[in-house]
Amino acid sequence: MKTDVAIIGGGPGGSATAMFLAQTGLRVTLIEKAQSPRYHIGESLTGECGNCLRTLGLEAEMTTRRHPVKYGVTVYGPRGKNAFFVPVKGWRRESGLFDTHTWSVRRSDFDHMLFAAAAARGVGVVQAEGVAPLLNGDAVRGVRVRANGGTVEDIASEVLVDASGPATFFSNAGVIGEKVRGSYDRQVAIFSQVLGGIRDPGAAGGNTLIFYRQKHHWAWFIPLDDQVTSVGVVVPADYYRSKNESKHQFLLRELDQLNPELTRRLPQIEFVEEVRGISNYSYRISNFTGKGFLCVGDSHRFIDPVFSFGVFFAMKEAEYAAASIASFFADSKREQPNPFADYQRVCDRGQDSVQELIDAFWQHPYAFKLLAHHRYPEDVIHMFAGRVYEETPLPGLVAMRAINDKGRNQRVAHECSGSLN
Amino acid sequence: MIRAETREWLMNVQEVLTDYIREIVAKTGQPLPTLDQPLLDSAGGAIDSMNMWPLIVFVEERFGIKVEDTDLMQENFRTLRALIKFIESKHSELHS
Repeated sequence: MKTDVAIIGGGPGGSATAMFLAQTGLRVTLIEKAQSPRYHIGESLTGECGNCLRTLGLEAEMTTRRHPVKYGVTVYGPRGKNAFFVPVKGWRRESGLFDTHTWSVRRSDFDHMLFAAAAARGVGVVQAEGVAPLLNGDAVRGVRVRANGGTVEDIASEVLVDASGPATFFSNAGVIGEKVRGSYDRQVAIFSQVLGGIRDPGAAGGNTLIFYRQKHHWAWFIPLDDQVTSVGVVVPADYYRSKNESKHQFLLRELDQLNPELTRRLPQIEFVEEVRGISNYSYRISNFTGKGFLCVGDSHRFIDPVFSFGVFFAMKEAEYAAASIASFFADSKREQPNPFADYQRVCDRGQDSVQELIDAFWQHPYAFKLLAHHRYPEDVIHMFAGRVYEETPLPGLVAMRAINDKGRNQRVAHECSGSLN
Repeated sequence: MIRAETREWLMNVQEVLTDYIREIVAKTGQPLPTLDQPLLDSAGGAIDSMNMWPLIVFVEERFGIKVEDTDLMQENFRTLRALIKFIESKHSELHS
């Protein structure tokens, strides 16, 4: 089988890349191994992620499917105090910030909707598992897949997109480097879904709530429909092990004890999903593009879930990847050593910006709040609105980077002096 | 060797800051911290992310220094002693 672009993985990154490419008239093949919609974590979407869905013409369907509408995020400080609200905003270069809303989603439904929409727009769908990339020297020329019945087939492509998420297909196959642990690698997340839960009244009922206990120890509360709420806690792995509890016991106790405001919101806890856990979720692979291939979303980097940027990166990088692939096909020579180098630089700029935001939040919580509320409130709202790809970084981002650099230098100096003693 | 007027200025910094913190703990109902007891609420002190900003504005105006973005790190606000040391170093930067 031959195609212009083959995409491995039918999650938001893969389906969005496929839909953006389908608009350009290229032949696109989307390869997904799961037979039916599957459970996935990462349910709260950012404002700009909502705008990606609008760009794809999916707003009406999001409304029909009654995904809870999200107007913002409330973050509760330790002991339920000092809550602050981050409104959902959009941003356009021509017109600046504007009010908007986004959604939180049950990922099995949402991912299925995107996948079905891609198929309806002329994307070829192959139900199979990616086995290995087809290589020609340092170029990727396609992918070998195995259908559920065991039949193996080679799909030849001009461009192969890895949208396999945390499965990191290219990295595992040795096409790109190995995963390097990220800053939040020693964290675990334990999560499930509950019935009920006290939400904010009225239109604010679909908002995401974040509860902070202390550094690297927090919980989320994300409405998935009228009845069910996604709840989870993120803690240091050592802390989790020290408790010596089952995941179920651990989550029950943490939801009760982590923050009094969360306790108030969950008077009874009835899990309607299995209690699950993940660890080692923070990683990156630095060079993720080359001749005939590129990665989108979690297949090359995941930082930390605290600000819900996961699906945003998948869909935003899908948009950039599709544009980059379209100009590759428009170029008759196609002789560049890496036709997707610019795409990679743009992705890095966005992810690095969010990394600074998250590092400042965890490492320098007082400074973060002072910068976000007093010195650069607009810049921080802009960044949360998805303005993280700027060539000239916003002053608020420069300030956070300076503080993070100072902290890193101090930690290095401290470790060096420690090793000398 | 610290000059007499510098020493006097420093004594004054400590006094002014202590008065300021005294007003805050009067509201939170906490005892007045000693020079080395924690100021920040993450360590049980009275300064949280809400009243830290007024403190910074006060310090800038009262002592004529500029608290730069990279000075906002919590180590400068951990204790009264750390805060005095920070103000002293900003002051000597200005006057050296």
